[in-house]
This record gives sequence, structure tokens and C-alpha cells, in this order.
Amino acid sequence: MANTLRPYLTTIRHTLDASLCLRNFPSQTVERHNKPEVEVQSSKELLLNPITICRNEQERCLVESSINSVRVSIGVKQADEIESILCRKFTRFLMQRSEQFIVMRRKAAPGYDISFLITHAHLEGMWKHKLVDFVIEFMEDIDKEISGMKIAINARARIVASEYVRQFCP
Amino acid sequence: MVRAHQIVPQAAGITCHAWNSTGDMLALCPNNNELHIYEGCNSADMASWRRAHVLAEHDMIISGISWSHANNKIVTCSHDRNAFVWKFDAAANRWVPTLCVLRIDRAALSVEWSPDGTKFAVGSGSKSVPVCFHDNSQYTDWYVSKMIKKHKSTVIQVAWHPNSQIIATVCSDRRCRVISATMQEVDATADAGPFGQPAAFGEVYPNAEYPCAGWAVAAAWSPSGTKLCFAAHDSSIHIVDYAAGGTVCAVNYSLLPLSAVMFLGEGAVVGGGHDMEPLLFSRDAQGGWAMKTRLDTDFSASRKGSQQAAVTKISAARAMFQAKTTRGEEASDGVSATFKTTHRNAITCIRAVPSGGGGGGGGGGQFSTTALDGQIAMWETSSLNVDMGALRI
Repeated sequence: MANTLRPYLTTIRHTLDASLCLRNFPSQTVERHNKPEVEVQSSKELLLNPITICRNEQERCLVESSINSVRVSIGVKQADEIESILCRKFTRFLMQRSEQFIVMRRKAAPGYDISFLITHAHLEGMWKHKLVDFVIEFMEDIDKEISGMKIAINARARIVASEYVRQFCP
Repeated sequence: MVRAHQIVPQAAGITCHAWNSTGDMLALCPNNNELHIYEGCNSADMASWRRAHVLAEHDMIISGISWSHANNKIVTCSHDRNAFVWKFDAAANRWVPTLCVLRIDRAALSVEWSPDGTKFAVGSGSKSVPVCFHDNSQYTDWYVSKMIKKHKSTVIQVAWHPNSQIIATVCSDRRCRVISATMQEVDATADAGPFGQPAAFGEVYPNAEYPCAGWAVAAAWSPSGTKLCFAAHDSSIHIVDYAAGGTVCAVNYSLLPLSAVMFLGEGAVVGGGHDMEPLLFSRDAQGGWAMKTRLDTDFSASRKGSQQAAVTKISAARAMFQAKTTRGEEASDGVSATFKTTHRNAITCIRAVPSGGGGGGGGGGQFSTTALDGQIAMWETSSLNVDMGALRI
């Protein structure tokens, strides 16, 4: 398992490194505005072709680039119903606090579990390699976190069930 | 050899800079609405350059600065759609702004004086290029503009031909265009430069619209005006040689895209961008062009490699854990070990330094780069491993 995760993350790292070549680009449609072009999508020529990097059907990563911003959307592995519930709750928890993550989007792109929006202003204020590290580390950790929670739930269910059954067999 | 100085805080960054004709004054924008002018920049001790003026006339970020070497005027343009021409009033020791009527309704992205100092061109988000000249026909003191409207998207940069009558524009519609900027108001005789027949103002010269695969982001003319270079966001530069009948030589290289280019003489081009270090392109033996070297990591690898050698294993381990706890860094030397380059963010602007400026000792000339990490770096061309005969700024 781990030996397919590594190339997946390496590919995403290289793609992000190449995509995060952004410039300060004011809007050419609205006066005195400076909006992420990948979100407003008002001029087709300012967008690049989106890239999807897949490890399997569920675990995939969409990188949409434009001249002044990049949107990275991540699909998280959901093997069964418990994992999909956990993933939904966990990403919702994070996205409600997206200000604290600076580059996180409040709403995920359709079809994905969580999205990041990186603009030129983020690259001016933060190290580029650290930003890429953050996204990669986040992807590693969210899998770990969800499988950890799943184990905890199963363990708890087992304890609860055995406690419950114990009262019938003294 | 490179000398770098953290001239503005690293969190701010520098959007653009320009030198005066003698190289002892420097104008730069620290990524906000202010224009900073430094004096004493002919001193080799870069820390002794002092900020003499802070000019805050714009109300949004300044995107372009150009300092005319012909008449010592500075022009700045900003995302607030305005441009100001600054003239120095020696009696009052202050810079006096003159408003320019740009007639654009979107942000201005770059500005450049013509080499003779009579006009300047502004690249703008309104898909047009206003070319401004001083209007002295009436009793007014301002700059009026004539529009070039041939673009389908934002004009990111403009570059003047040395004859001051032709401009090259690079545009996010993936085109570089060479356009006539001949004006009866200021130009006595029309000069078509490398093109035979002068075109009317605002006309693209025949066969001088060059497509590329990415957004065209930077352009420059060679000192003689026979070569044009433009860089695109697909990590390529294109060199048009008018001495050879306008043939285009495209160079695709395997690094990140550039955002500024400049000719070093007729046979070499230096470009800076998202790789955080200048790249050198020069003519190869077959007469084509090729990427020659990275100016920072290739040259200074030996110097930087020998710098960090921990004394003992224990102190190395200790330094590593310390870096982890204090800065969240994996490497032992924090940020400087991660970066092999002088600049730590994308380079935004490259300018030739006038001889005697910047405290340069060598006679081969230098150029300066500024980046979004707030550093200015001075590069001496005499220390570059290229044919020195061809390299004269």
C-alpha cells in the first residue's frame, strides 16, 4: 500500500511545484478588483487545463491552475460507510475553521472532499516549498486520522457490546 | 559574483525597481502603494544605501517603475489605473508628481519610458496600451495618451525598441506583437527600425505577431535593436533575429517559467522568474540559442556546500531538533539550507545597472534582480562563465 502512496504524493508535489507559478494579476473584467481567476472563471485564456492525479477511483487530486491562483481539490479514501461518515464529519469540521488554515476553501469542489485555494498573495507571504509540504502532509494525515478514528470506533463498539452482553450472563 | 541585500522586509517583497542614469539612486516598490527612492547606491556597502523619499500618491499597489535616463523623470503605474510622472524639484528637495491621462478603465501592469524619454507606454488590463507624451500644445502640464488596441487580453509588459518608435508587447492571449509607436507629435521622422516600411501608429508590423504556447510574460530588445526576445509561461523563450530576416528561435528549457528577461549584449539573454535565480541563455555553436546555465546554483554550489558542516554528530542532531521545534523546519539550517539560491521567492524584475552604480567593482557591468522576498541582488557579468566579448550591457 505504502509503495503506491509514495509515487502518488510525489506526483502531486511536482505538479504543485509547477502549478504554483503565479503572478499578481488584477481582474480584466471588473474595475479595481483582484480576484482569483480560477474561481471567477471570467476569461478563458487565463485558465490552464486542469490536471487530475488518481491513485484509485476515490483517492484523487484535481489541480486547477490559472494565472493568479490554483485550486487543489482532494478526494479521500472511503472504503466503507464508517469511513465515508468519518470523512464527511472530519472535513466539515476543518472547513468550518478554514480561516485558520489560510489556504483552505470553505466548500469543497463538487465531487471532492476538501479543496484548497492558493493565490499569489499566499505565495508572497509564505514559503512556496512549505505550502506544498502542507498540502502533501495534509493528505498523508487525513488518511491516517480517519483510519485511526475508525479503529477507535470499532474498539469502542466492541467494549460497549461486551459490557452490554455481560449483564445478561452473570 | 552576487551580492544581495534585504532592502525591504521579507514579508513585503519587491514588485519592481529602476535605476537612475548614474546608478547612485534606486527606485523600488515594496509591494504596496509606496514608491521608495534610495540614495547613495553607488556604495559597495549595500546596507548603507539610505531611503531618501517615500512617495505615496497611488492608492493601490505600484506595478511598474521606469526611470528615464534621458531626462531624469520617473514614471510609475499602479493597479489603481493611474500613472504619475515624477520630476525632482531640487530647490524643495522633493519629487513632484504629474498626473497622466491614461484613459484606461482597468489596472495598469507595467510602464516603460522610451529610450529618448519623450513618451512612455503602459501595459494594461483593459486590453490596450496607452502611449503617453507630454502635451505642451495648450497651457497644461500633463501627459496625454494615444491608444494601441490590438490585444485580446491583458498586456503584461511592454518593451521599447532603441529607436523609441517601436514597441513589443506581451499579452496573456499568448501572443507577442511588435507595434509601431511613431507619433507625429514627438517624432520628427518616422523610423521603422528593422522593418522596411514605417507603419502608422498602433499598427502591428507585418508578420510581427508571434504566437507561443503559454501566456507571453516578458519581452526585451537587444541593444542594437536587431533582436527581440520574449518569454512565455510555458518555460520557453523565443528570440526573433531581424538581421536574419525575422527568424524565430524558440528555446524550451526544463525549469520553471520566467517573468523578466534582459539582453546582455547581442549574444546572451538573462531571465529571472519562478526558479528564484537568473538563467542565462546564449548562442550555441550552430548559431541557434540554448539555455547555458543557472547563474546561482551552478556557480555557487561549491561555495554553499562547504558552508554548513556540523562539528560533531551530537551538535548536528541537536541543531536539527532545535530547528524542528523553533521553526518547524526539517533541515538543520532552517530556511537557508532548503534554499540553494540567493533569492527565496520569485524574481519579479531585472534591470541593467548603469556603470558605476550599485557599488560594482568589476568593469564588465552588472545587472540587478529584485524578488518577492524583499531582496535586491547585484550580479556581475564579468564573473559569468560566458564569452566576455559578447557581454556588454
